[in-house]
Amino acid sequence: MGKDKKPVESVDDSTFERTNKGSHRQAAFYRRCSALEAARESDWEKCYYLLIESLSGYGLTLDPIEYEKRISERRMGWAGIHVQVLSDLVRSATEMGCEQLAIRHLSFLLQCFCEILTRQEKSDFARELESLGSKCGEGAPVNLTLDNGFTIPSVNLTKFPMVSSLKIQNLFASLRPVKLKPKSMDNLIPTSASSPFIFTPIQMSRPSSRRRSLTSPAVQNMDFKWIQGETCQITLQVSNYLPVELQVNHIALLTDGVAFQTYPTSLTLPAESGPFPIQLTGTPLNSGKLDILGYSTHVLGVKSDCRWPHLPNSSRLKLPAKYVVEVIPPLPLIDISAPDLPKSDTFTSLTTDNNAIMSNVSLTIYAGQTKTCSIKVTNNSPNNDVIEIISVKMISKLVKDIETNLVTWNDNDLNNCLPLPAQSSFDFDIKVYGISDFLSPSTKKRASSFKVKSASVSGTSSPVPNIANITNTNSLTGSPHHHPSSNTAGDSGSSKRSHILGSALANFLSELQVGSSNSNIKRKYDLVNSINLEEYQPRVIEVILEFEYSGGGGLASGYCRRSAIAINIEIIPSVLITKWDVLPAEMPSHCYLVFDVLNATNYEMELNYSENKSILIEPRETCRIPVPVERVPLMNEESSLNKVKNSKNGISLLERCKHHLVNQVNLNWSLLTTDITGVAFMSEIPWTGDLLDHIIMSSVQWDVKVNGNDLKIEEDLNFSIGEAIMLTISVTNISGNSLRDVELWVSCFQEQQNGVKNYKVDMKRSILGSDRVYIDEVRIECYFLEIINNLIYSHELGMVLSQRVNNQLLGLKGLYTQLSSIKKYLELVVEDKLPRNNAIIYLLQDIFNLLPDTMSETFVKSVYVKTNDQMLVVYLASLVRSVIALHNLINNKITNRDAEKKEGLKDKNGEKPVDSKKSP
Amino acid sequence: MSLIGQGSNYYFVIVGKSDNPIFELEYTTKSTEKSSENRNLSQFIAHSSLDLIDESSFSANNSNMYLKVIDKFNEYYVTAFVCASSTVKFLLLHDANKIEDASLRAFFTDIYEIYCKFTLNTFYELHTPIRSSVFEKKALALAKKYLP
Repeated sequence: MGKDKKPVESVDDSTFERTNKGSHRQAAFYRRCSALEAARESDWEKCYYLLIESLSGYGLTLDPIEYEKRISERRMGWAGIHVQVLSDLVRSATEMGCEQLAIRHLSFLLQCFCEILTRQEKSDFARELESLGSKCGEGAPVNLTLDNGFTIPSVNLTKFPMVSSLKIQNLFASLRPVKLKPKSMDNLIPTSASSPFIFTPIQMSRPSSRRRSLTSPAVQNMDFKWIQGETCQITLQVSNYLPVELQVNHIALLTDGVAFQTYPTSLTLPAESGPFPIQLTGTPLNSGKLDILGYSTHVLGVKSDCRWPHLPNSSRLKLPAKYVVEVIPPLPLIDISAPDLPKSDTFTSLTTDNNAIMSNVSLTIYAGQTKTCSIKVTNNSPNNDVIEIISVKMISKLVKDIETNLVTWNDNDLNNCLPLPAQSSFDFDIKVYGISDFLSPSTKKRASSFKVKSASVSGTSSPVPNIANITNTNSLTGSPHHHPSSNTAGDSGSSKRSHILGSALANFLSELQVGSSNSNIKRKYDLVNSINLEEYQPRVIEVILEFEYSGGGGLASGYCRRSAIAINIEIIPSVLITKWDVLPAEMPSHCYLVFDVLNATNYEMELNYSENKSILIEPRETCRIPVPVERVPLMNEESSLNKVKNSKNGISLLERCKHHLVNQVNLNWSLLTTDITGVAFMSEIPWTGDLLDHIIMSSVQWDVKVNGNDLKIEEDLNFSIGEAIMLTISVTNISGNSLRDVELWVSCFQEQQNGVKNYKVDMKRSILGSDRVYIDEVRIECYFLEIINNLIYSHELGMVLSQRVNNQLLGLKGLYTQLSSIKKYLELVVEDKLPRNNAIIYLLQDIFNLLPDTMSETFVKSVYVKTNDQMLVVYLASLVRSVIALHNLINNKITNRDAEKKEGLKDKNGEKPVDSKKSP
Repeated sequence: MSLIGQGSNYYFVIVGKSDNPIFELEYTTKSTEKSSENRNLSQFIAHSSLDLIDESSFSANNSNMYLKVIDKFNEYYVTAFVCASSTVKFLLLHDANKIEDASLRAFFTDIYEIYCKFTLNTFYELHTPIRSSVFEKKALALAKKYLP
């Protein structure tokens, strides 16, 4: 100012008048000139006021908010002049002894011209501000009014430090309040527990509206809640862009609404550094709505109230005018620990924001073992709140019903401890069961191939009772079992023959089978020699037990807290079932389940597999155990329904089967050197269709007789070659429903000693009669032949272990039987005792059409020709034969005569030879 | 500054819409070094004469872009040039006594030319400060060429 050494002689009243004509800029110039003149005369007050008046001419406002607005509208004016005028103002205010004004102008200068000022200027101004502040005390962020009524607005140093990000922190997950739901809801919709916030829909719509108006929204409601009495946090990232060290004292939150106790912090930011995170903390003292308006700082000797919309980054950070957080009444706080379990280092992968894991523990358990461990729950409420309700929920990645097997607890144990006063604790027992499917992994992989092998073992194998369409040819062993397929057969005893006949004719020529040898049922198991290491790998299951609890005022307003304990359960395999099979028992209502059981532990194991039966298994050894079980009884309703949906029934059948077997098979194991015991289940074994058939009781009872004697399983029957065997099979439907489309047939195989079965026995046995019976073999909608309950349906057939000798005789016998069957059937049809089956009639027609016509002349002639030809051969043959015989006789005679002649000549000359002639 | 010795001081400024300086150039032909107060004063004088430029460019039926000397403060003469849009003004403060009007006019015209060329730059936003060293060099060359 004075330094400008400006000539001021031209400044007079006349120049001032020009200002009235609207020439603001010129007027400002002359005002400034006179101010400098006043300064030269040390009339600082006059100088100051003149300068203040000149501000409008220079287009300068002293309101930082207005200034920012002008900047954004590109009406910034001549910045260099502004800086000069402001520093003149500061100087004159200092000189006239009004430091408050000086501080105000200086802070405005720093705040608004931060980008324009050079480093040197910035540091000079900052130091000057600090020294002024220390001289006269801190300025309050209020408007200053001059004597002439001019108001100087407050300047808040929002740029020092500069806030680059802002986050209002939710409470820690373990402290966070959760809206309490009715119990029933909680069980039904566990997933919705993750979003219990009532503000969710509003939150959804907000971002779009905020995008529409770039100016920040008025209010932002936070989607979480704070709790009365809990320390709450806001995190800021701050930077210092000043070239001097910035001492930030007493930075605290500015709030409105609920009483809020703030905990101011102080920090020092080195020159031109950042960003640094700082936490602004406070405690709500009441419940209600808390408005967070901004923060207050003491920087460079200036006290500033920095409100969110006035922050320099507010539009970029999309800061609202205020944040609203709902504060709810206080809640109790618990601590959960498992004192007898070791701490786990691994963190569970189930962790989300919503479950607060208070501790991680690990637990090792053998598959099938049950372990009880206690969990200690302590009420740690800082405000002495009493816990009034508590509940436990389990979270894991498992399927719900498996999950419930894994960890169990008694809710009453919890409820008995309530209410729990502050600073007290109780122990809570949970039972952990080592779930496993007890199947070795390699077995599961081979399951498909395995089932084919195991399918060939059968006992008194019953037909698939419910799945009538599945008929099993290859499941018969050497003993002549049959898969009778029971069926909706005819309605009377006489009908059976006609059906036999029908099918027999159909198969008469095509199915010639030779008898097979009997042998014992012996199943060759190929043992699992290569057991991969992976079978011994323990399985790790992560489980989170989540406690939901509440009490005090928070409960009244419907909130609770959640905290959780994560348990890493390591399940070591104990018993592994590597193979399984089903063998028939002596009684048709029972069967044996045969398991290959592997002891996967490192200890000797005692396995109790049925009543009073146990076995010792060395570590890593496999043993085979038979478990007698009752076969699964039939279920009547099911069998009647299942004709439509076979596949569906197959599944439900398996379920039913499993359910039945689980209750009967208990594999109790104990490790001898340790005290560990457990139970293995075989509920996960994937019984395949064929094995299932053996487990399920047949709906058809059937008796097999060999040559009239009852056949006994396991009995060796010996027959010589060529001997005929008569098999009599009678089938009784013992299910409550009639069966349809049943097929009954015999198939034979030859068991070689190496366990291979040869089914190609067509050349080794022959069957007299039909080996196959269809009962209603052609399904026509209108014909439903049904077996009346308990009707005995029998089919006789003969079998020959033959040489060709007997074939003709038996063949003729068989032909006779068949023909008489045809005759009977046709008679019955004629008498309307049997419905007409067109297919049979067609077959009969075919037969008769193929018969030769004996009345035809050509036929007769050709028969004659044929017969003559044959006779000619016979005649010629006998003629040749007699000629040859005659020749031989003559030759013989000649020889004899010659011999006699020689003897006569030697002995007696006078003796005449005797001639003996033979006439032809 | 008083006229001591040879040469004179020049202060050239381009002023934008909101009275904001777009480009400032100080040029002196004096041997003595210039001081920063000089610059402050020049800014103030230039700022106050903006009123007169507005007055003369609008009120008078002056169709010239070059406004000749429009103001005088102590020893400083202010000559001005208004761009076609009349929101951008060129001001030249000088304390040279004998300077030909024609050379001033030529100076402004040439500056106007390079300014126009500069504003063709797509990345330049009108009324914002020009921070181009090329522009500055050209302007300085023009000042050397026309201003004695």
